[in-house]
Amino acid sequence: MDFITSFDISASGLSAQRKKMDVIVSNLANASTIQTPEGGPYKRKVVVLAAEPVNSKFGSALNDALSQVKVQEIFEDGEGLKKVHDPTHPNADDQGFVTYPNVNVMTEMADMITVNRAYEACVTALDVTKNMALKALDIGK
Amino acid sequence: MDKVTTQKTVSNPSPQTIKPVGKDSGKPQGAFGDMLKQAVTEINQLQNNADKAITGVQLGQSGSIHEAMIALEKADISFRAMMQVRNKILDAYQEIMRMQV
Amino acid sequence: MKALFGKTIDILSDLVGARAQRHEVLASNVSNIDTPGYEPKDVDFQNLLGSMQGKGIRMARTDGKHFPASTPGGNLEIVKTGDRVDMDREMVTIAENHLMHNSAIEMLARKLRGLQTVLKETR
Repeated sequence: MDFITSFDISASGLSAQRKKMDVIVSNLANASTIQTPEGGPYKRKVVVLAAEPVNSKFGSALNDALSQVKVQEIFEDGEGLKKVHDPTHPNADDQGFVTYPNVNVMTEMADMITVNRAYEACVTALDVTKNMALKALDIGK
Repeated sequence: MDKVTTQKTVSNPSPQTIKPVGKDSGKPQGAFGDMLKQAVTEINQLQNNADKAITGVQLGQSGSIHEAMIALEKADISFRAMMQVRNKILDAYQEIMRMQV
Repeated sequence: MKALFGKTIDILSDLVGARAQRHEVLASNVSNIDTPGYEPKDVDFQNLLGSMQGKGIRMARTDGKHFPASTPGGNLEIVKTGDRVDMDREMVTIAENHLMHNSAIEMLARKLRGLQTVLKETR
């Protein structure tokens, strides 16, 4: 069915954006976490999205051109950890440095707004699809 | 469109359609009955198409909602058109029956 | 009266019932979004539609343990769809189900209206 395909695509977008939101929130919450189960400070996580062909029962040339989005991986960004000299800190290393996460709150906030907008766009697309299908039901009324 | 032509043939019947049916001539070519039968067959076909479109959409096989709705409307409208033609014919027939001779 | 109402009307009315039941299942998923240990469920619609495609209206009993479908949509199979409820997916499925329910009702109404025209237009 045609509109079900676009529903699926919108749904994949919604899921992906929400996953992204989860990761951003986790980054923000751990913006100054210096202890993790793996050891060392928290490292900023980045969601990598990837396009995935729509698996439709009716293989057509049009459907080959359509793609859903999926979360390919959650990449751990180990670059740019901040070292602060604080010898009294219990987590300080031999030289008296404490390593803080590489989370930039400004970047995360900006990403959050982008995610919010993308999510809204997906919802709008979904609504439009639904309205189109409902309008099709009014043909001949 | 077919229906329009139908109506035209009915309102201006060509000479051969009103040729009297004699014992030897048999059924005249393009008789009104045949035409009506053809129209009914066509409308039935449209109904079948609409049914096919509906099951296609609802059982998730193929087709889209608008195609099914349009097929439904086609079937409905063509039926109504045929009914109008039939009503006109009946009126004409009754008119003739009332005629003083 | 079987001759008057064709196969399509039967199919449509069965589907409207099945869609309504599916909505109940989906609604229960949404209301249990925070229930610990709740596993989202769905009606196996693909299976249902497949069984309806073959021989029209009545659903086949694919297993001797199934109850016979005395009422339309009586043997809708409920399947588990995941480990936890995904709000987006549920809402999208609900929207899709709602739309298909509406379309089935609309098409049913048009079919019945067509029959009414047939009956009214005779004189």
